[in-house]
Amino acid sequence: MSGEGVRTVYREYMIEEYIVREEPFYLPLSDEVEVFEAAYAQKIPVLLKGPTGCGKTRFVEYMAYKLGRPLTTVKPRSKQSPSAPERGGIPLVTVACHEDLSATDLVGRYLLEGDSTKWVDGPLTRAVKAGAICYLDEIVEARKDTTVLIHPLTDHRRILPMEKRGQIIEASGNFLLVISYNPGYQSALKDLKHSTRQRFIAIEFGYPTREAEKEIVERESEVAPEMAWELAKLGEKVRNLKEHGLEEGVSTRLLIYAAKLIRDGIPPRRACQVAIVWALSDDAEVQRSLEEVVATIFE
Amino acid sequence: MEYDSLSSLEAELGQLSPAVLAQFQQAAPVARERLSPAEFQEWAGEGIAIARSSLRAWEAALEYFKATPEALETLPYPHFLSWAQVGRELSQESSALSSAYFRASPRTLPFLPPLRIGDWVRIGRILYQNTWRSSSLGCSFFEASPKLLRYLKLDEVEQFVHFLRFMSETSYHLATECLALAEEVFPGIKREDRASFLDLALVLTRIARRDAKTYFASGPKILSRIEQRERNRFLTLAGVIAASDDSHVVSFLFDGSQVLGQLDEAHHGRLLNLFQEILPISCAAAIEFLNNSPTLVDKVGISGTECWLEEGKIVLQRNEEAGEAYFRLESSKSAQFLERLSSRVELEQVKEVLRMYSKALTGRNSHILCTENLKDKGIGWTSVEKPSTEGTGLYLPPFVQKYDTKGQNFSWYKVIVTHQAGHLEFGSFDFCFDKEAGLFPNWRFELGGGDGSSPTDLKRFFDLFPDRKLAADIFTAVEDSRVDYRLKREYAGIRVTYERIQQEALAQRPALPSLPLRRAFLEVLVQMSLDDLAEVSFPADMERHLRSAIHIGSKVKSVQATVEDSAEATIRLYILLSAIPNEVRSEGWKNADLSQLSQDEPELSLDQFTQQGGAESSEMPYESPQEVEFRGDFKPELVQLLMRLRKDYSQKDTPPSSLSPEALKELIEKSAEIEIGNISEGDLLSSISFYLSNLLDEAIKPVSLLPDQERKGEQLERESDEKTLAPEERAFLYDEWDFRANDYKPKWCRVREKAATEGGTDFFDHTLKKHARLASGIKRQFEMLAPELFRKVKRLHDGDDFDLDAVIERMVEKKAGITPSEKVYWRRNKLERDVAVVFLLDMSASTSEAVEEAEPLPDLPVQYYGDPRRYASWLKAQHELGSKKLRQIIDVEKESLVLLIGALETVGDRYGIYVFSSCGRDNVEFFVIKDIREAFSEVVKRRIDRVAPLHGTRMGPAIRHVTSKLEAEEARTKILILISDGRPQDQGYGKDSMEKDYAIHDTKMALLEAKRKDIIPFCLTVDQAGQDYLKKMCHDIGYEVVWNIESLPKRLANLYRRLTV
Repeated sequence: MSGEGVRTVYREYMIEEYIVREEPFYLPLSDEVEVFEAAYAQKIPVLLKGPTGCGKTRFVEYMAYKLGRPLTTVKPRSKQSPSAPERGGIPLVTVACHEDLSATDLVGRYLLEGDSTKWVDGPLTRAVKAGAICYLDEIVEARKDTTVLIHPLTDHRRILPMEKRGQIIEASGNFLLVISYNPGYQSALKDLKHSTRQRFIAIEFGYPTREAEKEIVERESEVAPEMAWELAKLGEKVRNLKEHGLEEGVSTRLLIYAAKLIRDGIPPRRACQVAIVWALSDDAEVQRSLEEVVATIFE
Repeated sequence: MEYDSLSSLEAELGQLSPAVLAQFQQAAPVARERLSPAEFQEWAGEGIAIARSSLRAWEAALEYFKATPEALETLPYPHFLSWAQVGRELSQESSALSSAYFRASPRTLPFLPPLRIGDWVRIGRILYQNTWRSSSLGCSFFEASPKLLRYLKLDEVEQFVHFLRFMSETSYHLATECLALAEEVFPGIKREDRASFLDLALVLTRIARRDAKTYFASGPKILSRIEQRERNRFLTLAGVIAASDDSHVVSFLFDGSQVLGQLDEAHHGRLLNLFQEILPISCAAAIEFLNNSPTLVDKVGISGTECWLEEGKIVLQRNEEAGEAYFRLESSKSAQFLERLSSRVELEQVKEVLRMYSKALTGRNSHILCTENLKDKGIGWTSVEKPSTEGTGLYLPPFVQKYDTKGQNFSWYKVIVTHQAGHLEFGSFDFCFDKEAGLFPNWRFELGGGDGSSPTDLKRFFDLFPDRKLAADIFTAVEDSRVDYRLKREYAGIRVTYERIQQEALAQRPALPSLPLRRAFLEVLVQMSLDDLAEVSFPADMERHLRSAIHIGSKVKSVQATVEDSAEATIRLYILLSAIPNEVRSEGWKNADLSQLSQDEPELSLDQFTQQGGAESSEMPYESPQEVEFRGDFKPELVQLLMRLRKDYSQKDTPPSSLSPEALKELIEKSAEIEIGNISEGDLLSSISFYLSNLLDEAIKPVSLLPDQERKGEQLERESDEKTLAPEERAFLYDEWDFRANDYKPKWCRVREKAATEGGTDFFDHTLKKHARLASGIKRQFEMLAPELFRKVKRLHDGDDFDLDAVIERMVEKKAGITPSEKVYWRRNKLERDVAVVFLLDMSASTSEAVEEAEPLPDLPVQYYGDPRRYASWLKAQHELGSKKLRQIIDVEKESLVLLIGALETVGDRYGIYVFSSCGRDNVEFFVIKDIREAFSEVVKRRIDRVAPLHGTRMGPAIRHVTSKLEAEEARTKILILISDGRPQDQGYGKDSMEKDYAIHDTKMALLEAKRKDIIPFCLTVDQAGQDYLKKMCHDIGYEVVWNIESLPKRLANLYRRLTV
């Protein structure tokens, strides 16, 4: 995760300079990497769908890294020569959306400085200018006025209107808007509008298969392969309970947490209890059932 | 002459006492009016006789004359006369008593049949003992008589008087006190309990006189602790105790009732049953038991208590002292047994956990049900104790008490579930005839086995074998072995427990030498499925066969093995076993070492398959091996059939497959899994069709047996020819407020929620068209709501733009040297509309009233008791009427709804629409037109069409039900709008159909409850006479009466705006 919050306006932080320098571990589940690469080359915005903790953010980081490598041939079509790749990578601007996030927060605002005012760009403006990949996490949470910004940026125009300054910024060639959305727990009220939806290609993320998940858990936590396998098995079993006591299946992230605890010497049953059972549910009966499953799998 | 006699009478009376004379003169006009002169004479004469009967009898005479007018009112003359004579006789004994009698008469006589006046006095005289104390008690009795007779029958009064007399033997003071208490005591005791209550009181006066008064005084309190229906029994039991051993009765009455009071009322009946069981054996033990019952119930539950008592009874019968100690909980035996019971695990308690557990393991929806349910279904399963599955449900025994700790008992359940889940997970029922086995060459294909026309693949497979039973048993053993192996490999955590239970099962297996040979072979297969056998005792000449069998059997214990491999192994084992004569061998048994198994394939060939073992005379009929307890019934063929049937039914579009009834019948006849052996030939056919229809039934309906679901509605719906979505009917129980008792009647009303039936969309569209102008007007009003929701919030730390005023101020402050404020931004704050609204529509019969005063509605049958056919015919009649353009209240209600829906959709608020009607407290029908969470769709339109007047208006439960729905919603503003046409009324909603108060109070309370839960209730009524009851119902709740019914749609919209802004 990039770590930048939304309200960074009071701090001088070069949001557009955040570049993923080390290769994040990402195990492709199908052809999503190729699809994303193609979309990036063709400047098609991407919508990532999937339950929490299934690797959406990691995927974006990975793609930002991968696309930023010199080896990757990104054909710059825009006249403006992008500055970021020269510095060796595509910046990644991540904004976690919340229900109070308004267009102003994304575009920027005036600040008072002495007797005058000063304009400060918001994260989206910076990303547009710098040619970054801008990742709006959980987009449906944001206020509806953000669509005013998203729409012109995501069709053929690729412009960002800055109403308050009376300006329009053309997006740099490397810029790409990526949004994510979890269809699982958003209420019907907070659904994406079709006019927004249909400006993106959608990549759907599910939970990985047992084999892939074992791989991921093993890589991320450096736990023994057998243990990773058992955890992946547990993951699969627990996910069977979705909508039967659990609102959401266990995320790969939680499985990795459990694995990390186990690696650090916590007994497996206990590690699963704190990292999975208690994290997933507050209901005593559900907890008990999950614990029974844990006890069936782990010695 | 008349005058003469009157004056002579007066003279005579005057001599006796001037006061009597005065009273006589007062009463005389009335008497003269009512009586003939002769009777009048008699009446006066009686008065004089009374006055003369004893020294102070003139007082009685005075009362006599005083009571006369009222007595004449109630009594016909002959009875009147006897009333007077009874008084006269009484006055000879005691004038005071007589006066009291006459004084009490006017108020008492209305309660008394005239013929029983004599009895009444006789009862009063029981108390009189010729002493002044007794006479004063007697007087008090007469005085209290009207009150007593209000609550008691005369016989009961007599009992009570006997009680008083006994009490008076100790102390008149006590007796008087009791008499005074009577007024409070009797109303507190139910009519049917009074006789027993008095009986016991009488008994107590004999054996525990001192406690009798306490008992009498606290009677209502004692009884109130006990469940209503059990009170009488409680008193009777006390009587029994008193009769046998007087020392315990007091403790029983006071402590016992207190103990019962601590317990759940539902248990009272059962506990008293238990008490009654031990009472004849030992009274002391029974009382100890009762006193300890809260501890017992708390510890082991009521059914556990029953078990515990059974054990205690045996002890008690053997030795009374030991038994009493047992019930005092002072014997180690009792403590041990209790401990054992408390470690018992009941299915009910762990059901949910097990359900989720099995769901997690298999990923399939499975229900955990008690084995009793499966047996009752009549589809081939007969055992109650053995766990099983039929594809979607896991059937488990109702409780486990095999072990000493709860944990162990639970793990027994867990192992059962894991085993059954294993069958599902590792594909026992997914057997496919044409799929290749991995470990064995596929002999199945060579054997042919018919074509694909068989209903299930397993049937096709079993059809290969001449002896299906043997084949099925082999398959069961092999497949169980495979599944257990896979389970233990897959789930390391449960391995230890699993193996422990396998070992226990192994220990219970029969010894091989006692079995006929073929059966012994099968036994070996079963045993090796439980453990890796190292050594087996077996006839020496069979060792080669044994080794082959074990070789084949152990092959399926592998991760690669599939159900098809089990099938192949079954073929091979079948060949082996069918060649072995099923006879008992008494010698030649020797231990065979099995630790070293040859790797060679046993020499078997398919040719042997068709050869049948020689049917020798010494051969025993083959019997299936005893089942392994934790594995229970494994009926793969039936399960596969059920799964298939279910699938067929879920995909209705596909043409009916090869599953002809004949094929089904054949399957059932052949299958070794159904035990119809013990049914006589004649019954066979009928029982097969019985199974068949049950099976089909089972396949059609979902297995769900959630406790709150009821089947009836579903059944009905299926019968109706309308092609509606089978509505899910759910029942809910709600309390009802009884304003007289000032308390809730718990779980009094049953609300049945179902989706409304669907009609066409015409009504909806037509209404919109008809009221196009109104509709757009309302819509505009609602649209205007939206902009009001944005508010500019100023002086913020952070916002859309500068607040110019604030910036200027800041500049000024800065110049002036004051620390300037940072708050210089403004932002449009969206007040998100967060409204959830529910419309509750009354569709009682009265809504069928016409709106315009056209012609009165012809008499239509408005009762269909939920019968859809009658309803349909009624609707039809209604439609015919519709041509006459008679608009009913319900039509207006519906139209308002249509318009409102359009408007609500523009605002985007969450809303739900429900209608209700009731038919007694047990049947409040609650139809969902649109659930709060449901999106508006054509279905909603169609449902509105079918809203039509039904039965009564029991508002309370319906309001409570929507309240609970709203409660589950997360919204800032929650609104409940009740649209009705008149006051609430229903069967039993109040004392009689005319009483309004009860219903109104309950409705009011329901509305208040909603209010307490932060819901804004609002009542809207189209009842022209509504105002008066609405005022009562909604004293501080918003309400409106719509006088002009046509304005309802508009009013509704306005109201909605007002409430939500």
